[in-house]
Amino acid sequence: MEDFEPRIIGFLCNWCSYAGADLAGTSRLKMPPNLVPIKVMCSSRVDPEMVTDAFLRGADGVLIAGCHPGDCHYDKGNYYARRRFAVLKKVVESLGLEADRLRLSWISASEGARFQQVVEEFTEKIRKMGPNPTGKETLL
Amino acid sequence: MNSILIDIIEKAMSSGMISSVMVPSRGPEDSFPWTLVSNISALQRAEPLPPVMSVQGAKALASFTQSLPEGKLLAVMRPCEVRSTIELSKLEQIDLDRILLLTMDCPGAVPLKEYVENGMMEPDISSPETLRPLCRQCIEFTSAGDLCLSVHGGLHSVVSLTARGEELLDSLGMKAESNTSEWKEWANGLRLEREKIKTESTESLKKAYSGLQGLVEAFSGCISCRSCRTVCPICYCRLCFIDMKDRRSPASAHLEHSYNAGAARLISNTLLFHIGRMAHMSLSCVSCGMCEDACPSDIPIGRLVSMVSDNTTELFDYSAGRNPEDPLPLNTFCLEELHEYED
Repeated sequence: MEDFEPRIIGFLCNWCSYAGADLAGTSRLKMPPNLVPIKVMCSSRVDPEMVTDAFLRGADGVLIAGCHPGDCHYDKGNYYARRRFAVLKKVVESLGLEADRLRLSWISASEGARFQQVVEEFTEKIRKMGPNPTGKETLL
Repeated sequence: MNSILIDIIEKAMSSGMISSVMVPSRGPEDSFPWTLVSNISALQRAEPLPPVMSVQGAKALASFTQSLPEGKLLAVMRPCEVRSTIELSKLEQIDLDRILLLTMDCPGAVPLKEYVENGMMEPDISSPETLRPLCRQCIEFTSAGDLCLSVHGGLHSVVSLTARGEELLDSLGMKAESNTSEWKEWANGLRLEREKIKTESTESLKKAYSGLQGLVEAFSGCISCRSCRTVCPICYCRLCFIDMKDRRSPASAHLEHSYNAGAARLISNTLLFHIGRMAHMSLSCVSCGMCEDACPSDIPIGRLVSMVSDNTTELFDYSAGRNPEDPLPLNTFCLEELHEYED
């Protein structure tokens, strides 16, 4: 447990959150290296199945990040993403799985510092939760 | 009840209001395939309420009614089939414009496997043990679609539920039953009993199959036949996410999991399939129980999806098949909502 390093998958939207992550990098903000970013064109591109797949393959946390409500590059993609995410979380909760390992955050292109803060917070939270038991489960 | 239903169908056909009827007909070996009847004489074989559900009515309807060229069609189905028909119309798989839906106080259905093994048997609404597990806990056993034939609470007649239903009854010279209080009382009574059964069943389901270990146990016997998806009326996709070639895991992924966990299941992604399916279709699930009836491994998949569906629909105060006007929750949104899920 002591040397547990969380592996977190981050689905970042191309227009806001990925640019926010970029800004955090170019601003040389320090943050934990635990998040593996995957660029998607919009947070609404993230099918619940993609999140479930990451979760069941042993990702300790899954983050979806997109533009703030009202700022979606495609006008309303993030509103749809929010509904889908809520449904997935309910499914996971209903089945008694750890829904706290899933997170939806809005991070704009100018919020490098917020990106850093979200990654820090989420990594700490997951570190406390410990490794995702799906990683050690043989019969998935 | 069958004879009253056939009487109504006959009247509707001979009046010319209805050009064809979709109804199960008796086939060889006590089977009940769906048929599209266009000639009154062929109604002789019609069995509007067979003891088993072999194919879900909405699935049969969607197989040919993405658009009807002419005439009006009367579909005679159980309430759960009507409700999935309404969901499929929202999913643009059925065009309801030329379709009238006639349903009835549903007595439930017997489990398909028992029926196949033991031969002819009848469901008995008053003894739940004769029914499929999801029929036992069904609380939507009546009142769906345009017209509902009621045989309980002293009634023996048709209740119209929509303007279109009323129009059809009028043209047949039949009067819609107006005094429905006794029938409603009967329905409420049964609903209360069923709700109790449902609460108990959900509790024991949660106890047995909650959490990762519980789910692994529940699905360890899954043979990946995908029958649950095949018979599901809501799973209409031509290509399911689980069958997409580009998302098949490479050998390296299997090996990596095997290194980490000590061993890895092949054929994998059992849980991914079931959880992914729930995330995709649970909002439109009508708890018809087809999936569970079809499962060769006796996994309580229908009860599990139904339990999940109760929770997901609650998010949007949605009820699958209740109202054709309610938009599908994932096709719409509110600006201010679900703040507890975002940050």
